[in-house]
Amino acid sequence: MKRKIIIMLDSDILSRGLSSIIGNLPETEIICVAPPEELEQYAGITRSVIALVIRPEQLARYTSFVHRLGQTNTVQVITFGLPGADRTKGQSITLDMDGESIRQLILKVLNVDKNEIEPPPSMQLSERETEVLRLVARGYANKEIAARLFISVHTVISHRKNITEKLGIKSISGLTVYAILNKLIDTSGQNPETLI
Amino acid sequence: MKHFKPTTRMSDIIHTNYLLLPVINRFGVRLGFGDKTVEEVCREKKLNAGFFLAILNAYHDPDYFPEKELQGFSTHLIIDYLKKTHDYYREYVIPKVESDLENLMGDCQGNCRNLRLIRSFYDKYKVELLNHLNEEDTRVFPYMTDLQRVYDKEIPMADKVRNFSIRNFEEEHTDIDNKLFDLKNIIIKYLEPQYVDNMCNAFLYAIFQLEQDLIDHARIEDKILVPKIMLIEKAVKS
Ligand SMILES: [Fe+2]
Ligand SMILES: [Fe+2]
Repeated sequence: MKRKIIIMLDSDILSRGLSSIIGNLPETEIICVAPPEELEQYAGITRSVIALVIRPEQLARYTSFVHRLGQTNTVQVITFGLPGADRTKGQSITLDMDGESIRQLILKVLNVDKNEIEPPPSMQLSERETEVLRLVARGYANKEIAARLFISVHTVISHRKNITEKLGIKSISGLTVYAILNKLIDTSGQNPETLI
Repeated sequence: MKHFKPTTRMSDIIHTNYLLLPVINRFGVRLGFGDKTVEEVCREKKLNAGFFLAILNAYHDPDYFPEKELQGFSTHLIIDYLKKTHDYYREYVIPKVESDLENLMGDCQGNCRNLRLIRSFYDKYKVELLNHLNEEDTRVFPYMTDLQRVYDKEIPMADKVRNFSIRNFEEEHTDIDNKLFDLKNIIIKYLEPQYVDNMCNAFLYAIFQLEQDLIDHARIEDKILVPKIMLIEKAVKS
């Protein structure tokens, strides 16, 4: 997961000021969108945690776009306003805040997903997963694998999901290559290349 | 990230990101542009400068993807660009990846069995990719062009246009992207390095670059062209 801060403010002084206060955060990119440039142009962002800094009165205009971005990203809206502005709803930055509190707020917001984005602790395949992988590599369909291992198709699917996550290999032929490389399947007496 | 503007010099664009070289070539723009700006070069070559810039910027900055603006360009313009990209894959990228792979195999040290597995995997992938490009060039794009022409009242509605639907054109892109990713990852993480490092690096560079190009290409198809065609289908066929 990458991190992005989108600052959508109509004043150059404000957006530049805010980005210099936020400064450099590890693996975080700051994007300043100044009208008339449109927020919608950033439809390309995926798999990121996004902090969107925006004036509350502008928010309504972009609801559907924020929702769309939210399908492939985690989006956190931070409203920007005058001191004493309505702070009841969600997170906000106001003109009277000092730099450190702003930084802290941004850090907090961007780390929201910390637990989710960290990789699972064990990347080792379990015995059952190895069993499933062997059968996948030998070309068995989920139904057949379920029947052979006396488990439900649903369980097979969840094992396969874990295998893919742990190994970082998504395709069946990729998994087959992995299984052969690691000698998980017996290829004696045949050309292993024909299995791929 | 800074985006290029009509007044940006072409030479500055290439100094900023040399990976854009094949992209400008697809538009027929070649090096030796002196101090000419985007505007000037486009005027000379009779190119749509807005489209040229949107494509360059989207390639340069993956976050930047002005969907509405891109959907506003003509179907013919978009398809023409995509077809040129296909040609580039077929005529240059795939042969290049292949010769890098040949070099890698040729210099294999010790047991070459594992590298041969990689090659089989690549061969299968290649067939799939070529079929996909071919399907688009011979069926999908011609259909889209005809549909657009029906919409523009340049040609009458015909059965082959009426009976085809863009929905038949299943999403194969994810699968193609996944395989390329797997290929990289297997080499990076799991293949015992019984090869000359520089040969393997060259092969990986080529794969990384193809992957980036394909992702950019597929999102123009999925997010720009297909939605655009769906709207036209709705207007023409209902
Ligand atoms: Fe294509
Ligand atoms: Fe495609």
